[in-house]
Amino acid sequence: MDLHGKKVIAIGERDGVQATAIAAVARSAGAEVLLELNQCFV
Amino acid sequence: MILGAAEVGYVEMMAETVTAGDPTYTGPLAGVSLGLPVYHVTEPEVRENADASVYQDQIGVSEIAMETEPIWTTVRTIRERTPGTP
Repeated sequence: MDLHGKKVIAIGERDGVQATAIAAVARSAGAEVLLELNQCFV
Repeated sequence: MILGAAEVGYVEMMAETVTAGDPTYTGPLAGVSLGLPVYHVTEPEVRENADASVYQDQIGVSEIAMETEPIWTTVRTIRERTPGTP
């Protein structure tokens, strides 16, 4: 899968990987991040 | 769609929701099949595309605390039964 040029929705989790981190990784791969948000399962 | 949840159950529910529809039939995506390609951020498909130093800075520590194999298996299974997903 090539992320370059792809549009990405980043759904993070408070106790896992947070959305800002996912978005940074996606951008470093050349993707465009459309939305980043965190879920919290309790 | 790239997920970051640490528990297999959470990942499965989110992945199912954005592909086949809400499995709990409680939310607005009940019965709505979006068919989005879904990955977990720790999967090799994501990692291999990312800048290695950014990946290590952002994900490295979190990844250590996760049981990644069952997460990958779950996401792949859901992806494979979603038509048109690369």
